[in-house]
Amino acid sequence: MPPRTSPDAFRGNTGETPRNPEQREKAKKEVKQQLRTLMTAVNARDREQARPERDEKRLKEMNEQINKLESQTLATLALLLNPDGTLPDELQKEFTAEFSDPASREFVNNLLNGEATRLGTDAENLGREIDGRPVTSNAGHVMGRIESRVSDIVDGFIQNSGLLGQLSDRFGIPEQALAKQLQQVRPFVMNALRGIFANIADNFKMVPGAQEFAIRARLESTWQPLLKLKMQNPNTPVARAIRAFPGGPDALKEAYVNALIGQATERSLAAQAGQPTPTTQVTLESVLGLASPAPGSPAPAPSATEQTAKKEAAGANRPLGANAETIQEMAMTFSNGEFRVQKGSDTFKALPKHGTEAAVVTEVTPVRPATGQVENLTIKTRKGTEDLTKTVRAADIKTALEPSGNKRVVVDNVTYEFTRV
Amino acid sequence: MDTDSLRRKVAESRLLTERERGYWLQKLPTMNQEQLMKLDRILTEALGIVWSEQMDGYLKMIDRAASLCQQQLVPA
Repeated sequence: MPPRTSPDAFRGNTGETPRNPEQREKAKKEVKQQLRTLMTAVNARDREQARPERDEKRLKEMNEQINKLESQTLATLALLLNPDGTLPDELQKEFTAEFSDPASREFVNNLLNGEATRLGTDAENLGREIDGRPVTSNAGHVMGRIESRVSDIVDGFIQNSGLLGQLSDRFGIPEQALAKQLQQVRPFVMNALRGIFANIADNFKMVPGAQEFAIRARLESTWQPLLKLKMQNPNTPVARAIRAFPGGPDALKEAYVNALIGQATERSLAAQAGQPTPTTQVTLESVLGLASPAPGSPAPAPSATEQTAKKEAAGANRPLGANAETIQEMAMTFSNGEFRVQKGSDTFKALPKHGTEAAVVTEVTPVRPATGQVENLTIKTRKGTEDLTKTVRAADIKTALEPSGNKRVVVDNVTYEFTRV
Repeated sequence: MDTDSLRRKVAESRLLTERERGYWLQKLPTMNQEQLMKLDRILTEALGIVWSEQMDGYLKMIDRAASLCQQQLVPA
């Protein structure tokens, strides 16, 4: 058979050579496709042959990048965070927006409520076990959950904002390597976030007790640097006192938290009572019993033990409720306009009435859900434009919710009917 | 495989664009025997297509010329 390209082939001897324009066009396309396929194979072989050399080069580049990256970690961090360790406005906004969302707020509220309880606005609760778990581990657990959520937000921000791309361009580092590096940087970021979260908790004033939570959160983020700073010179009185503190640094941290909470509590109580804000300032030194007043400065803060004793004496270890009575084994929540009390395995919802007309609960103080205890409450209700604020005794609620109780508490002309949920 | 001959085919192929021609001329020294044979076969096939196209054009030109001659020969 003659070759397909010979004139004979064209004359139709083979029957394969395209003789009309359509056939030729089709044949051209087929040939082009064959060329492309061959081109791909040639390129693949080239790459294969070049791999060891390229890998070596790549490895060298990667090493250089890693070295460069190590020295640039702080720069990277500086780009991600503001110089004071706070988040950039953009992320801050996103973070704030996240917690402005009612569902997220509720989530955080629940965490904070539980947390505030467990951290114990009562100093006496700290260090005790609740539900078989140490209070501090509960705190860590809740903080972990918050951080996990925050972490998702940060991840989303990093991925969606193009920040990774910008950093990659700036440093000439592959995004993947950079992402890995940012993972290592994450603990720093999370520490900063703890502080930010605390600020947000404060700003939103989501629940009474957030302040206590915020104190702990802030201390969590600053404790190690503070300790390091104070221990920098091991011969200073403060360094010696830290070393000698019974129970070690963890115990000192707890004592410091207690003291700070006590300070906040006193200020809070003073504000509630319309008294001047106490000028005592808790410091690590004051907790260690080292603080001495500088001329014109406030008096030294009492030690943690002194503070606790003082608070107990003043009944101040119930900082948010100025009332004395506390009923154990009852818990309450106030969320989305619903005031609920849990007693044993039963949950009751309070339905207020002004006289005979239905009203709504608008405020409950203190809000202390899942506490296992209910204090005397200040409950604010509204019917139309009429607001009534009443103090409801915990003992009355308990009696009303007993199996034989009438599920009703009446204070003046306001009736709180409790219906089982 | 005669790479000189293949080089000529690449250089003279009317099916390849200049870019493609440059690519293949550059790659020829690194291609293995199988790839060289495949390229040779494809370019040979392509030559037939282009040749067919040229011949087709040539025949059409003759046809047109014949028509013109006929028109000239017809008495007015």
